[in-house]
Amino acid sequence: MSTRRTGDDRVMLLQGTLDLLILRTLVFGPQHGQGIARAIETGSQDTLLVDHGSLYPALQRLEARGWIAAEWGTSDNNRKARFYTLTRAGRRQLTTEATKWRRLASAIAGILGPEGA
Amino acid sequence: MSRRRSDADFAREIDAHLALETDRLIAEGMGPDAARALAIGRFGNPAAVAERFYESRRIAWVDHARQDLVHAWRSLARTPGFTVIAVLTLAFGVAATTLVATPIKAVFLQDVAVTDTATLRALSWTSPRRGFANGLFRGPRWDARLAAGEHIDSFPFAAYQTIEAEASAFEDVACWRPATEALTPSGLVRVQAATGTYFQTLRVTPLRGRLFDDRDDRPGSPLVALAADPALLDQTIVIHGHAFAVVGILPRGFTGLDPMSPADLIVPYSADALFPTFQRNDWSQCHIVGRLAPGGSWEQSRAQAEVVVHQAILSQPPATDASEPPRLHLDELSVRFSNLRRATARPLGVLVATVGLLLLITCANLGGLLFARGRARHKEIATRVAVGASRSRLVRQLLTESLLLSALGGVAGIAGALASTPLLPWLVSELGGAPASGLSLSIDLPVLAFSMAVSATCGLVFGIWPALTATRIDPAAALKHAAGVSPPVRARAGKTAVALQLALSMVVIVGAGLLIRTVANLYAVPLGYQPEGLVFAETNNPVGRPRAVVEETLADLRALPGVSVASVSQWPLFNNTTLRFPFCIGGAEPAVQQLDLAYAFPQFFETWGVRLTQGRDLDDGAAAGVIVNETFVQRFLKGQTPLGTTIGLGGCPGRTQAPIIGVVADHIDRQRVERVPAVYLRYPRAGALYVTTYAVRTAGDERVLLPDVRRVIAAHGIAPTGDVRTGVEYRDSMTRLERLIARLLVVFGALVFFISCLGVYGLLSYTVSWRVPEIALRIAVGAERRDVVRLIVGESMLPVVFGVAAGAIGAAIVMRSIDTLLFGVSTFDAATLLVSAAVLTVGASLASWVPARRASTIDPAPALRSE
Repeated sequence: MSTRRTGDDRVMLLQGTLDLLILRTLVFGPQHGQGIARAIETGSQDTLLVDHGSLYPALQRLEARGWIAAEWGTSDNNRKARFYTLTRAGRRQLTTEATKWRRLASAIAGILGPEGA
Repeated sequence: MSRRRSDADFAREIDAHLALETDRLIAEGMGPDAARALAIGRFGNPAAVAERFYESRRIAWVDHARQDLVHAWRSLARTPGFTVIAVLTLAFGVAATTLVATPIKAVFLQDVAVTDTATLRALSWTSPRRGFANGLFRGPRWDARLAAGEHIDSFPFAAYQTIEAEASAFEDVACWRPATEALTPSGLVRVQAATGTYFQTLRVTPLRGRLFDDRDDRPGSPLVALAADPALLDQTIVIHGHAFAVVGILPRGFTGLDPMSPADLIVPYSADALFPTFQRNDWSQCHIVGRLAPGGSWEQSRAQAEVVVHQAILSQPPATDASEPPRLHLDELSVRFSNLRRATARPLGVLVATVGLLLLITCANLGGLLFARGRARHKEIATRVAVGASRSRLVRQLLTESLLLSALGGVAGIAGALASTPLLPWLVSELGGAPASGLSLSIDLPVLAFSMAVSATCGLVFGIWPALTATRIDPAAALKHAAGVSPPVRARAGKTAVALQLALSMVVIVGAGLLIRTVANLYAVPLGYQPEGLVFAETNNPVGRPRAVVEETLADLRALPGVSVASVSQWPLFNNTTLRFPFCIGGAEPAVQQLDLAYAFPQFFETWGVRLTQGRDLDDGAAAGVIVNETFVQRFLKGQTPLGTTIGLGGCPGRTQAPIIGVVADHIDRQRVERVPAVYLRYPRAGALYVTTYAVRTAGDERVLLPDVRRVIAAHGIAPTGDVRTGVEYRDSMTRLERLIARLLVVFGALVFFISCLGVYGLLSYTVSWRVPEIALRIAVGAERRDVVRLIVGESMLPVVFGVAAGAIGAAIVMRSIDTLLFGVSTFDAATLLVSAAVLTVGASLASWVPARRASTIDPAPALRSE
């Protein structure tokens, strides 16, 4: 995927984590694709770089699984956009995935030891 | 939720995204063009994204199935040995199923090739008496059938004519005569005769040309025929010296209404009078089929026809025994199929059981191999569980593998079955003892679907358990084992599969052994005549000048090159109808009066190869005399000199009295009959000779005489009632069923033996592969190669011995169902059981020796290091 601004300290998203982050973002309410990407980037203090090209297939996948639902609506600046909402199944999925992810992260952190090791 | 979304909608969303992103970048202070460029740049190639959208839009399970299939294919391709063994054994099972399902379907599910049968019925009758039924076979067997209330479905032609003319409840009525064989210059054909109303009644249409009607069915009209073989259209066929023009081809699959007696040709009934076998007033000449008139009722038409038939009986002098008219019945046309079903039920039953066993064995084989495979892939599966594969997904993948295997096996098996379809007509005619052309025996879609379903069921049923077992895994423990410790041996399921296969194989092999012994015993029975070198023909002679025809024909036969002796008799050597025939010996009638009685020409015994033990042959001289067989002497003349003793025939002292001039050795044509007393008389000088059997003997190969004998007989206008046959053919026809089943069981026995050995081999190969570290360790600590071989072979022997023992018990039970087929051997035959057990055990040990040998050559150092 095309990455830009190489050389800076932003990192590409790990495989599979994008889904989790999308679900998490939607907890705050309906959002369109561009808004989701923006929210992930700002939420991670611009550390995580969302590949916009991968975002829409991911949304499509989540929609197909029934974790999110979509509807055309109007954005803040009056543009037509497709808005996504979290479904009940999506909320459940988010809980399991988040738990898994936290455990994995803490396990890896445990192995890596304190920063600077 | 999983609504399909259009490509256009997706494109609109991408446009919206780019617009929003551009807006944002402009808001951050970029120029519009630069903002737009950056937004597009960050997005990447929109076309590629649209492509990915297209991919993602597909239904998830289709995707997964495809992935599973690709994965299964790769995984099977990695182990070609396993795949070939599994596919091959399954292919055998599926091929056998397909081949057997076809005749079963044809015999048990097929019906007459007439579509509109709802208002069609075949007429039949029952009666406690049958004095009125001239020409019907007589004898105790027929009496019993009538007494049992069996429906007899033949009538005299006169009955048909009256029903046709007077029974208004029938819209159409037709009469047909079962096919009789006729020799034509091009070979034997089966000719059926039917009235001109036949096709109108059945409402069938010709495949090509036209059918015949009443105009063709008049004496004197041009002779026409309809053929089943399309190649015969517009040809002329000569039957008994009369030329018939083939004007039409019968509908596809239609060979008349009796599958036991299918017709190659159908001719108008009036033409039938030209044939020597024709007797118009016989009760065996006409089968009647009628179509109910619209608005008519079955009971009304039945009652009408009953009255008419009674009139027909009374109008036909001598109306003996007409006091009690027969009761008429209307049967469904399919009733004739039940005769075929009865005739083939037993052999087909054996066949179905054997194929069922074969199928079970192949499925058990597949199951066993899958178990072993799952076990050998322990580590791979553990790894995949550890990285988060769900169990259901893993089971699905393993099942996909077994389903792929069964699909491959199914396709291979069907290909094999299609390649062997030419065997089917042979198989069915051998099974039913009737020509199979009345059945459609092509492998069709329903049969193929059935075979594929069987194969898939096998893959599912015998795949699910191994898949569940293989994935019941604790990844932590499994991976720990991978680090050096052998997993606990849990091969019980695989061993069960091997034991099951061997038990089932044992049943088939014991069956084959018993039938082989039966056939050997049958052939060991002395028959008392010499079938080798003999050719004979049973015939009906032309009405009018029989004696002259017989003598001319006999002279021509004697003149044939290679013929050493020829003779004529009433029956072939054996007629097997033991009549109660009153006769007088020593001035009294014996209590038991069953006699085989036949007229013969001189040299009859020499021709048939029966030894004359005392006295002399029948001769043409003036002095009358009879010949009896040894059973006659033992039964009635024990301790006396038979020669010169006078016998009175037809009561006491008897209408004819003649001295015994010779005694012949006992002779039988089949092994399962009792020897009966027999008396042979010289043919009366001027007697009717309608039914005769011609026989010739040669010192050379009798088969070369067949065409000559056929030619001589046809040249004299004689109608054979069957084909001209050799003595060897006749002898072998008596053991047809036993030999056929023996042959089938031998073929299937070899097949299941082979499959079971493959099963043992496959299972042990896997066992060895997962036990490499253990074996390496044993070798490293000093185990001899021999010991390793003994260990592996020894472990496989437990299920083998168990399976063989269980199979022996199973065989003893199963064989009881075919004990009437056996001869001179009991269902529980120690020798057969021992040999079968030995064959299976030796085969299984050899099959296990190969992987055991491989295990013993493991080099311990690298094997241990790789763990």
